[in-house]
Amino acid sequence: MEKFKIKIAEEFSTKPGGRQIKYGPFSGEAFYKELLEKRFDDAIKTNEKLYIYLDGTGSYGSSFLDESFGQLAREKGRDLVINNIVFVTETFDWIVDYIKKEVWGEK
Amino acid sequence: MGRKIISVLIPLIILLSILWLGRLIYLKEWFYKCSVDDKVVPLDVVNLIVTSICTFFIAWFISKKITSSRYKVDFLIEDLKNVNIELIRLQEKVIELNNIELHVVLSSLNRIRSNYSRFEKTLELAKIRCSESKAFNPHYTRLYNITTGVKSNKLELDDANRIIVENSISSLIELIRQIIFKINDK
Repeated sequence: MEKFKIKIAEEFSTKPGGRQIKYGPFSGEAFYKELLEKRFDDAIKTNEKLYIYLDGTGSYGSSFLDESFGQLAREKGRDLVINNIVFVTETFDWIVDYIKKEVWGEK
Repeated sequence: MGRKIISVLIPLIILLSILWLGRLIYLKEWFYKCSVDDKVVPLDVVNLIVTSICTFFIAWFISKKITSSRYKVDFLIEDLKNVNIELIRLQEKVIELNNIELHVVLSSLNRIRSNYSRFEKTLELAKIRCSESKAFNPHYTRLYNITTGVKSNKLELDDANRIIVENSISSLIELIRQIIFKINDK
């Protein structure tokens, strides 16, 4: 049972934007502040994993991913984030690879 | 150029060899003593039938192999051509416009990725080896970083970054063409 999850297309936007709030809507910074950080903290407090549903959006820009998932790793610790976030997708496998390799620096 | 020379030289060498062989046989004394036996021997008839069947079977088998291999190559090239077309479309936008909506860039990159993934899966199914295909990911990641690493919802293009984006697209186009040539030779 997935107790903690974020369905980005339903809860945030089907067209995620750029990096910062001041430059436009649905930015990575907005996603981090409005949803990701709080939901991740709640999951960690109860020893649960956070499930991120990526499908349903157009796609994700590299700055959006860095400002949200990259920022989460910088703030909460890379290993904690890697071990407690589960991506669910049928169409964005390469985005998951990108986040793990390029944003989190996993080998 | 080399191929043209070979395609002229080989038939010429074959023709000269046949003429030389004919001339050689013609000069031999036994050639005039040769005669054709008009009696039908059952063993020869069986031999002729078996040889004909074998010849037809081998010809059918080889042509089937060649056709099936060509089908695979055609499918692979089709996907790569679609990647090439999408890259050229993106390059045209980069040359003509001063800014491109991020979702337009992402949808273009999605189509490129989706066509290339299909190519990779078909390559695996067809059991064809192509070492160049592995170079796609680093090139694609570089293009993805350059075109979507934006502060706002638009990719702003000025003289400085336009050339960087153009170069990145061009290097990916060159790689795709290199893979097409390699696959076409299979």
